[in-house]
Amino acid sequence: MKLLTFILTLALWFVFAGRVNIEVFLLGTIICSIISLMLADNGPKSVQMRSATKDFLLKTYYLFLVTSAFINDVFLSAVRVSRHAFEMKPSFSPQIVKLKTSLERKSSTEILANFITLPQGTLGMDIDISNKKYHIHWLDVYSEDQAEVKKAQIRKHEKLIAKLFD
Amino acid sequence: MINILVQLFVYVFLLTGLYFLLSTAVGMIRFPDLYTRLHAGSKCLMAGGISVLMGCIVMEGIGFVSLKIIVIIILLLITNPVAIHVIARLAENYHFVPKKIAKNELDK
Repeated sequence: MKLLTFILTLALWFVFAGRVNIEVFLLGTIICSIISLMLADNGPKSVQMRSATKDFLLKTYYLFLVTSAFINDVFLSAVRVSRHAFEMKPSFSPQIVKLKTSLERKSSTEILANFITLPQGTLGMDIDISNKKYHIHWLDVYSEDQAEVKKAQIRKHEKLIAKLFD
Repeated sequence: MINILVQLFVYVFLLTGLYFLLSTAVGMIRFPDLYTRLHAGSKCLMAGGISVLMGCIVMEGIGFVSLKIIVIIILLLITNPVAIHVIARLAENYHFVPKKIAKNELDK
């Protein structure tokens, strides 16, 4: 884990330095060693890596699916919100709802909270840790059917995140 | 020909970003309460930021500058929803928002 942290921080160091030479490498090695020694014991506790090599390809595929769904939904949702912003009379029906999650780990619940906040016209407000319930504010849900569709979208993302991180 | 295509992509990305960032500003002024404003502040700002930065990546081509911009996009993707979530949570716990505007299922 320390080696992985070292490699990642060194790569980031080269990216920020903007050039690759011996001075940058030496200084980067010293700084990244210190950082990896400090972070490796505390950082990855929240990111569990089970059977990393076994199903690496499958997880990469899921990661690609999650990221593409995320960015696609961000843009769709932004179009919807920006349409409301330019309407003569903004016509939305805001509502605060509760949604129970089946995710087990802390890291996956946090990632799903990010997924609720950015895409789909929803906003993650709070997490009830003991009951595993999200408090969600959504913007333009006018009927029960639309609410069910919205909840189904969140469940779809929840399943993908469960496959990746749970 | 390729240069024209690259320029076209850059303009499309930058104009899209401009539209989303403008809608963020308009939404922040026009929307009625804190939560709806946070919707504008999260989604439109994110889409605008990603569009503008993607335009910069296309303009710069492959290089260290593009890698730096990709790192910025990743940091933006992580930090923006966290910041919005913190503001929303604070507002909910301290009841900053008048409840008449949103139908509140939590009170049932």
